[in-house]
Amino acid sequence: MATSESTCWTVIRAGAAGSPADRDELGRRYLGIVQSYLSARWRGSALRKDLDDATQEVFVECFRQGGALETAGAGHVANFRAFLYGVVRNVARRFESQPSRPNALLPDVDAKEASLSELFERSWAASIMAEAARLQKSRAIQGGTEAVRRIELLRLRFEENLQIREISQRWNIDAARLHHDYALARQEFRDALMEVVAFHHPGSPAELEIEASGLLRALS
Amino acid sequence: MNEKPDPAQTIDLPSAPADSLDAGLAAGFGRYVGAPRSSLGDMQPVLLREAEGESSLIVKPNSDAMPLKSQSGDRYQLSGEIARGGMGAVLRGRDVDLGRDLAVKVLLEKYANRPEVARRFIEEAQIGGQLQHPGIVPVYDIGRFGDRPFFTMKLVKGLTLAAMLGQRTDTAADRSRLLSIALQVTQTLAYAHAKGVIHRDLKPANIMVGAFGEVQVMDWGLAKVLAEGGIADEERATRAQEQPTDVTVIRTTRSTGSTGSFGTDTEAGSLLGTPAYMPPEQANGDVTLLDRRADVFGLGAILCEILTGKAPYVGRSGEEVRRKAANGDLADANARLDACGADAELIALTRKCLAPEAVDRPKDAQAVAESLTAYLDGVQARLRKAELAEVEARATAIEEVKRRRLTLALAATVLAAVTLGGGGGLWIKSDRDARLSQVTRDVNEALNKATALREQAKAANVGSALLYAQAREQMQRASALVKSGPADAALTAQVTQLQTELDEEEKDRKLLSALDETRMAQLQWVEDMSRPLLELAVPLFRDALQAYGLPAGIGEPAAAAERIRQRPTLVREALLATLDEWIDLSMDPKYKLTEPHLDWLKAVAEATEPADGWTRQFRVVREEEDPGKQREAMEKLAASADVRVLPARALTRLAMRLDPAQAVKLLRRAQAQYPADFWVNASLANNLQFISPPEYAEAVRFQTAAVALRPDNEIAYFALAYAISNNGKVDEAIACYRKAIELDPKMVISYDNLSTIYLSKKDYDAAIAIASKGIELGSRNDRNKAACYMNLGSAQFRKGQVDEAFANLKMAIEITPHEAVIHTNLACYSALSAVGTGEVADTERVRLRMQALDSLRVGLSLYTDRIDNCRIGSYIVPQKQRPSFMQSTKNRLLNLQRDPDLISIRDASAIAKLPVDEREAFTQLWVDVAAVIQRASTLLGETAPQQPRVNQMQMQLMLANALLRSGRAHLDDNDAAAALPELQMGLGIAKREMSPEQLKEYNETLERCLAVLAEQAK
Repeated sequence: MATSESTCWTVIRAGAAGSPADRDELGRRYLGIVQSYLSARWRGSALRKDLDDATQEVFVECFRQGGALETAGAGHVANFRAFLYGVVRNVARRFESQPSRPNALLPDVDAKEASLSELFERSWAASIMAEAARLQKSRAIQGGTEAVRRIELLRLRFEENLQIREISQRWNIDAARLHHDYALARQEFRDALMEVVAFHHPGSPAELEIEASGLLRALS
Repeated sequence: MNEKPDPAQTIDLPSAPADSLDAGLAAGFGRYVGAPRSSLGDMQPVLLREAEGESSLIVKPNSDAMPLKSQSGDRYQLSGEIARGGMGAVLRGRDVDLGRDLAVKVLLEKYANRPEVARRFIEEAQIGGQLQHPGIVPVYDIGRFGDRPFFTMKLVKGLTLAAMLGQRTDTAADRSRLLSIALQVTQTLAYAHAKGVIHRDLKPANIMVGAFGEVQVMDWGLAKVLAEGGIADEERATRAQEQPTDVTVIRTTRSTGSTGSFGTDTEAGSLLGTPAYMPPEQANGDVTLLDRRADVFGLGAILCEILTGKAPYVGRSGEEVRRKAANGDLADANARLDACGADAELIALTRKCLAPEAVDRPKDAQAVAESLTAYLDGVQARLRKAELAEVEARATAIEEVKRRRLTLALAATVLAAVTLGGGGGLWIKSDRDARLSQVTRDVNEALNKATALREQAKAANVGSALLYAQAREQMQRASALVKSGPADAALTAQVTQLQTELDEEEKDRKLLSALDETRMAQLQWVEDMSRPLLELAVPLFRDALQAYGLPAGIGEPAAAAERIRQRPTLVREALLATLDEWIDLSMDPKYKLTEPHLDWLKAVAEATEPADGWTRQFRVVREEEDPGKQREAMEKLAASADVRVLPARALTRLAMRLDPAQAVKLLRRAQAQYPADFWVNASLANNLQFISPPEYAEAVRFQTAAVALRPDNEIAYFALAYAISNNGKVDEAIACYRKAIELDPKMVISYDNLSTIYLSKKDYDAAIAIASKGIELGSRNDRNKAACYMNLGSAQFRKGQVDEAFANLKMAIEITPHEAVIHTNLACYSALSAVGTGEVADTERVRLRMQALDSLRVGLSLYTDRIDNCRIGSYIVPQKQRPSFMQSTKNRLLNLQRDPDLISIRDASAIAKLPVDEREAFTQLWVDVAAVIQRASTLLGETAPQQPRVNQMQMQLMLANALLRSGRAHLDDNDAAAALPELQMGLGIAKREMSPEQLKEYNETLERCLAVLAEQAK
């Protein structure tokens, strides 16, 4: 099971060693990314009905003895994101190359490969941001009313697309104060983001900065 | 782990510019987290920026999308980028020749060498260029900057509908204006549909409202040309081009081309759209199903946001929104619509447009436009009528003045000689008195009527909404009267007071109705384990409170509590119960909810309840972490509950926390106190069916009472049918299910249960008809739809339609792979088919047996999961239902042990005749079944086995005996060669477990066999 001290590699190692809790944890973290990649790759093709099987296959491929995850867990891979992308793509190709598949129904994957890899990057980045947001929310709940209110502030700003001025009117509080709260909320999000990035991509502070910037760029 | 910086000092982000962190925040907190974006999907609608002034349109003067001067030529002056998507950028420009401002959309450099992207880009221009309608931004020109295509179009200045909706403080505000915008959008789409084009990305952000009120539908980048039959499939569209047609349709390079790469285009199209506004067929990527009705859904989505302030699908994450869109999960949207306070006709139209199944929607935008026009005309007529009534009231008052004036003038003539000086004043006073008198009479009449109607509404179980509406109408009349003429200050105050009270009561009524709907929905979820996620109630709670003006987390808890305290008991109790249920769900670890306003909710609930209140005691007990202690404390609380004092809702809430037997005790007392409370009767009926032994007859009695209290409620009828069915009165149950279906023809679980009853009656034709209807109505992943597939398959198998039966059972498994009974049914039918008479190849029989084996294995593992973890799929069975749940699971396993359909793969003598490699597998299977039953008995605390159990040793002995008998038969037939392996196998299986007598008998037979073989060898 992941703890605050763990990184993705500790979870991966434990998962490769057979820990069900860590396997669950990996599934929880990466299922969405795998599914969104496969469904985009196969959208409009008959392969889409194999989506669940293929997703399952990706994790089986990761967890089986001597499988991809065991290899990764043994420290052979530096970047888990690239590694997972490789596994997913290989599984997808395996499904696509099954002889029973009528070629006419296959998507024109080669033409889309570049955009699909971008999609994978974006899905990855989005899932990291969502995780950071979840971390920030869970902290806010422990942090008291003001912290929770800052979460609501971010929600109104980014989900409902309200300007700070509009939120201050809605809440009937001083806009300047709300701007300060907003800045604080952003900093809290950034803190959470750096922690999540450190989990997935352990490294020096400078490396974490570079990784985080890359993720944000992928979404911009 | 990083060290946390001091937030007070570092509030800026030197390493990440604000706009890039915004992208992360939008992904983390925005609506569409992780939404798949294709190259086209990123394309921002043209000029979506909420421009207030021209200069603000430019966001990037030095955009890399700007062409070189040598490429753009002299005609267009380009001043910077306005917006950008994945495929193209929109630049602001000026046509020097014509002297007009325009928008220039240009393909991004990186796609310049991607012909398929360029083709789609050009197609957007071609569609825009051929659709000529005031509601569609005209395309002026198309060309190339170097190797990049571009097109120019009208530069629209204004606000998007999304921005307008966002500016509202109240969802009821400005509704008529917004509806007229929606009508214009609908008419524009009707035109496009007539031209064979569908938009596929309708949403408020793609509707631009200009400074002069002109409405334009933007971003036709995802538009499709329909084939003749109306389906978005370019290949068929191409074929359609060859057919003569008298309707002008849009032609594009794609729809007329023959490059053979349509699949790619179709697929690219199917990636796109905005999940929060998408119909299920689009969210699932079913390109072949997309037709005009996909846009009709988009129109419904726009209406939904106008009426409720939110898109049809909202969620805590983009993933959730996408999932809801894919499942057509509109429960939340429908609840919001029902609570929005708009006219029923408008809500019905919106809901129809949002129907999850395309066939249930209006056929195209023209049909929507007609309905919306008819509705708006009706509103206008009503407004005119109200205006006339007011004018009439004023005219009556003026007439009265004139009449009085004449009478008084005559009187004044007489009086003038006597009192010239005071006559004028007297006339004025008398005139005023007369008017006052008339107005007072009329106002009093309206007040009396309103008061009477209000009292009737309060007393009514059914129809209170109509009575309230009539009361409010009377009050509007009274208000108009006091405004139109002189009115006594006290009377005016009385009108204002009653008006305010009625407004508050109307809000209360809507709140109670919304909360009741939520409760009823929960009842359905409890009855139907396919929707067990009670946490779905949370958004309904949130919306109900928001609509009531108590948005969670906003304002001081003390103020909210004070407001709740001032409401009538019924409303106060409902609000308190809602807060408690909301808190319960948020704190329950199994739902894994993160409620950002939990502290606020708790603070409001605490502040509302008096210090010595019963609810406070209840909450203390609820906080107890030890389940055993909590159960004990709840039982104590129930035993001491004074039903004469406690409200009915508090009692039913407490009953939910008790074991069925304890709940029944409490609810019997509650029912004596509140015989006319629907929930008390329904809860009692429900719990009576879970006690041991169940009291079905009594359950029917109380549920009948509940139905009498809510004769128009389908779930009440459904629950009654369920109880009657349990009570063994099949025909009565059928009648009740039919009534439930009549009240709600779309409640699929009724079809599921009804077809099950028909199956048990062996009325297979009726079962097929009802199950087919359920399948037709069920949404994509509905468990009840799966059950209907299973029932359909079962009925078909019994009628000899074997292939269809297997196909439908597999459909059922596809929808609900965790439903064990479908797998075991598949096993039964496979086993029966494997031994069926007729020409069945041996290989086919083997395949069928293997199918049976696999299905039984899956079924057994699912039953094991139920026994060990008390769950079905991801649904964890509530504690109080676990004993009956485990018992029913065990019964199902026992049924497997005696199901006649499985004899051919269960009976030892039958197994002995199977090929060698199958024997062990089936033997092991039945041993495993027996072991799980044994475990269930142990967990249920049964001291002695209720059914004969088979352990592994017994099973092996049975098999060995069967092999001995079979071996002897072969010997009797002089076939020692066939006998030998069977006898050897029998010995191998059970040698150690055999009694000495059995072993002796076995050895003798084996020796005889070997002797025969030796003789034959000689």
